[in-house]
Amino acid sequence: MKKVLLAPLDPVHDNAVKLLKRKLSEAGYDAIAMRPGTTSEEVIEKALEERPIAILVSRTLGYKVAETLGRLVDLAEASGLREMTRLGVGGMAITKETGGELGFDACFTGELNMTEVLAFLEGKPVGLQTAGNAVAERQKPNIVQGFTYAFKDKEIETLLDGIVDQILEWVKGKTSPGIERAKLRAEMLAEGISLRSPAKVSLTQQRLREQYLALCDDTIRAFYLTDKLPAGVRWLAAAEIEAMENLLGSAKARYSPLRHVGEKPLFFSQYGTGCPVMDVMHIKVAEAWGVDGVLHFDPSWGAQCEGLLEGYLSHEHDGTILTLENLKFIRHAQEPATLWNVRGHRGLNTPETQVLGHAAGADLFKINIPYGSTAGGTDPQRLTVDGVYSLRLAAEYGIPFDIPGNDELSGVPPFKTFAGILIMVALGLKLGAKPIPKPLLCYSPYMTIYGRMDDNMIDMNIAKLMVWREIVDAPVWPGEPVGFMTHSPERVQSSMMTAVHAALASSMGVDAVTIASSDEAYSKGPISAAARVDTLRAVRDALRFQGSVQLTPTPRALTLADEIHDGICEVLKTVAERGDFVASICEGLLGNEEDGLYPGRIGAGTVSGGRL
Amino acid sequence: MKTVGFAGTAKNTGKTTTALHVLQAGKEAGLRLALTSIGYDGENRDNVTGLPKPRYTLQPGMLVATGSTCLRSSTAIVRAIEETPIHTIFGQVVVGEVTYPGTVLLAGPNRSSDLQHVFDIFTSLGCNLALVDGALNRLVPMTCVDGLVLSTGAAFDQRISHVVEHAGALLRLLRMPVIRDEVPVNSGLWVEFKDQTSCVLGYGSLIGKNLLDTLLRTLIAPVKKIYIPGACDPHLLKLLIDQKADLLRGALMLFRSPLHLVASGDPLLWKEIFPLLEATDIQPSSLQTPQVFFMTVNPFYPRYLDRNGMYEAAYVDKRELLAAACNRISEIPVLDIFQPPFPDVISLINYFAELPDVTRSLC
Repeated sequence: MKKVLLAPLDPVHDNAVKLLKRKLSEAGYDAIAMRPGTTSEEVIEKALEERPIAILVSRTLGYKVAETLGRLVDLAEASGLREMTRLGVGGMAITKETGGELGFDACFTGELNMTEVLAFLEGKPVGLQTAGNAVAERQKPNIVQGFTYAFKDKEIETLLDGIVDQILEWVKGKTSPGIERAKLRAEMLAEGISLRSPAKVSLTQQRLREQYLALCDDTIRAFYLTDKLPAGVRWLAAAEIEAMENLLGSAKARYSPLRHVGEKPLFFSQYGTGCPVMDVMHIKVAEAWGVDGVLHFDPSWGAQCEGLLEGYLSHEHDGTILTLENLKFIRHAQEPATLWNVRGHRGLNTPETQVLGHAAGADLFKINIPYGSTAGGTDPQRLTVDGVYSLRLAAEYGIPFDIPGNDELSGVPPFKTFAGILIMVALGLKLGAKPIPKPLLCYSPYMTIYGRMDDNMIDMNIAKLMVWREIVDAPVWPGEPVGFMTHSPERVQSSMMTAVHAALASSMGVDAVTIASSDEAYSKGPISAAARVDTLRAVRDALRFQGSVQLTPTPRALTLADEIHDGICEVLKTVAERGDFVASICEGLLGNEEDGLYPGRIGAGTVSGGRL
Repeated sequence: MKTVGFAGTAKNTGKTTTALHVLQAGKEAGLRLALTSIGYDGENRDNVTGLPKPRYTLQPGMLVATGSTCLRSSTAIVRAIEETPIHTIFGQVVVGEVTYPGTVLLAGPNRSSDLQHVFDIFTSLGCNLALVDGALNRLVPMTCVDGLVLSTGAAFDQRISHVVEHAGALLRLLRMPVIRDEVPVNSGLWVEFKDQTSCVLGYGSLIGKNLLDTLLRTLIAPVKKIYIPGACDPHLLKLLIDQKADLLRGALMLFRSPLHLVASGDPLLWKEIFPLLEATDIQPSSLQTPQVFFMTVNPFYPRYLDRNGMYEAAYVDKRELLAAACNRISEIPVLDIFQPPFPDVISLINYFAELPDVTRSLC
C-alpha cells in the first residue's frame, strides 16, 4: 500500500489532515497523519523512516508561513527526499503563488478537491493544466434526458390536445416576413453567403439580398445598402477580438459545480451586456464560478425591427445584437461543456434567431408565444405563426426549448401563466420538439396585491413547483431568474434572496435554475462581474448548507398547489371553449388588463396567407 | 557556461534587484544570457505585503526557463525551444528564447537535479551566463550553481548589527573548506573507523532524535571519518559531539554541501557549533560548495501598519548598513546596488575565470 505522510505544519489546525486521512484511506492509501504543532524536522524524520510517495502539508495560519514551509522544502531536498517523495501543500494560508515560490510540487487551494489530490499522488501534473483538462473532459449535460413527457393529468392533456389542434389548423398556409427571412437565412448559410460579402456578387447572393432586404425595416436596409449603423451601434475592432482570443488562451477556468450533492439542478446565468467582448468576460467569470450554462439575451430594439444585422457589433443598449458573427464569437469562448441558450421568443426575428442560433451551436432555444405576444411584445397573430415555425425548427434541429413564465411579473396569477406554458409544452411535443417549462419563483404583483406571500415565500413557490410534477413528466427549470422582485439594490440582500430561492428549488428536485447577478435589477446599466460572483457564491454556500435535504410541503402549500392546479384547468377549459388561441390571448384569457397584461402590437398586420 | 544563483536571507532582501543588475551588465558585456527561478517571481506586487516589486524585463536573444502557464502571462514573446519533463505548479517547464522584449513571469525548476537539467539545455543553446533567481531564504536547490550572490538587509532584520552578524555566520558556513574525498555514491550516513572498518546507515541525514540514537549506537570505536550527505540538525550534532567527543576527536566530518547545513539550522546556531568542533579537533569540510561571488545589502523593509493592516516601504540607514556589513565581512565584496562604489559585477562573478571542477562534480 502506498504511503502518504500528512503533516499539519500548524500549531492548532489539523481538520484538513483528518479529512484527508479518511479520504485517502478510502482510496486505498496508507495515510499517516502527524499531530498539529509538528516541526519541519519531525516531518522529515518521519518521512525518512516511512519513505512515503508524498508529503501533504496543511497550513492554516498565515503567520511565518513562508519561513516555515520554505524550511521544510529545503530540508526535504537536503535530506535527499525530493527524488522519491513529492511535496504538496494546501490550507487557508496558501495560494498558488505561495506554493510555487516555496518550491512545492503541487498546491491545493480552496475546498478540498480529492480528484486533484489523487491525480497528484498518481504522478499526474496538478494545477492549471490539469484543471483545464478536467474541464475539457466534462460532458455536456442533457436537461431533457429521461423524461417521458407523459401527461399525468388526463383532463389537462385532453384540453391541450384540442387547443393545439386549433393552433396548428389556424397557422396552416400562413407566413410572415420573419418566417420568410428565416428561410432565406437558412439558404444563405447553406450556400455560404452573407449579405455583406465583399468582392464579386453571385446571382444567388444578389437574389437572396434583394429578397431579404425587401422584408426588412428601413434601419436594417440602410445598414446593408449604405453601411449606416443603427443609433448607438458600433463595429467591434479587430484588436478587441484578437485581444480577447489572447486573453482566453492565457488561462483556463477550473470548473467546480455549484452543487454540493447530485447532478442536478443545472445552474444558468443570463448575459446580454450589449457588447460581445464583455459578454464573453461575463461568461468566463460565470463558468469559473460554477455555472453549467448561459442564456443569450438580445436587444429589445432588435426584437422590434424586421431583419437582423451582420458582423461583430456592439451597442450601448440592453441585450447583445443577434448576428451570426457575434453568436459564434460568444460560443467559441465558452467551455465545450457549457450549455448555451439563445432567446428568440418575443420579437419579429424569432424564426431567424433559431436558424442563426443553430448555426452558431446553440443547445437550447427559448420560445413562449403567450408571454412574447403580451406586455409590450409582438402581435399575437404574428408570434403565433412565427412561434409555430420556430418550434418546427427546434424539432428539426433537435434542440430543446424552454418556456419562461415571466408574464407573472406583470401581475398575471401563476395558474394563467402556467396554462400558457402548458399550451407551449403540448404544442412543442406535437411538433416533435422537447419543451422545458419554466415556472418563475418570484414575489410578483399578484402575490403582493392579493397577499399570497404575506407570511412566507416558501409555500407558494413549493406549490408552483409541485403542480408541474402533478401534471406532466417533464423537466422543470425555475427562472428567469429565481427570486425576481425580491431583490434590492443592496448586494448582500440580493444575493441572499437568490440563494434561498435556488436552494428551495434544488430541494424540490428541479432540473435547472436561472440565477441573477446581485445588481441585475438595479445596475442602471450593464451588470458587473463582481455582482455576478456574489450570487454564484451565495448559491454555492446555500446548497452546501442544505445538502440533499428535501422540504416537506406544509398543508398550506398543498392547498395552494391544488388552487393552482384547478385554476390551470379552468383557464384551459375557457381557452378550449373559445376555440381560438390568438383570440384567447387578445381577449385576456391567459392574462388580462386587470392582470397588467396587454396584447402586443409589434408586427401587427404582417401575417399573410391562410384564413385570417 | 557560468551559472549564478541569487539567494537571500529573507524575502525582500533584494535578490531580484541584484539579478536584474547583473542581467543588465551581462547584456552590456555582450553575453548570451539565460534566466530561470527556483521559486515564483514576476508579480507587480508582493503577494504578502502588496508593495511594488521589481519585474524581469527580458530582451530578444535571452533564454528563459519557466512554467508553461507563466509564458502566457508574460508580455515578452518567447519562442518555445524545448519542453522539459519538469512539472511545476505553473505547468511544465519550457525553455525558450525571447523574440520580443517584455516582462516575464518566472517559475522554473525547484529541485537541484531539475535545475541541472535546465542548465544542460541552456549550455546546448550556447548560453554564456545563466542566472537563477532564488526564492525566500531557500538555498538547497542552488547546490548545482557555480556561485552565489547573497542578498541580505533590513527585510531580514531591522537591527543592523544582527543583519551583519547573521551574514557573517552564513558566509563562514558557506566558505567551509572543500576537500576532494572518495565517499560511497548515493550512500546514507557513512562512518569510517580508525581501525579501517566502516558502516553505512540507511539514511543520510542527522535529523530527529531516533536517527541520532541510531548513530550513537553505531559509534563504538574511534572515528576517522564521518560523512553526512543530507541534512544535519546543529542541535543534534552538538549532542553527538557532547556524547561521543572521545571517539570523534580528530575525525574528519564531511558534509555534502554547506547549503544543506543552512537548511538544517540558523547560521548563528552553526556559529556556536564551530568552536565546539575546534575544541574536539574535528575538521568540518564539504565535498562541494558554490563560490560566493559577492553580497548585497538592502536598507528596505516592509513596515506593517497596525492602523490599517497594510504595509509601507521603510528603510534603515543605508550608509550605516553598508559600512557595518563591509566592516564585518572582508572575505568577499559587499555592495549596495544603489550606492557607490559601483563595481563591475561581471568581474565580480569571475566570469572569465576558470572554474574549479569540484564545484560541478556532484551536481
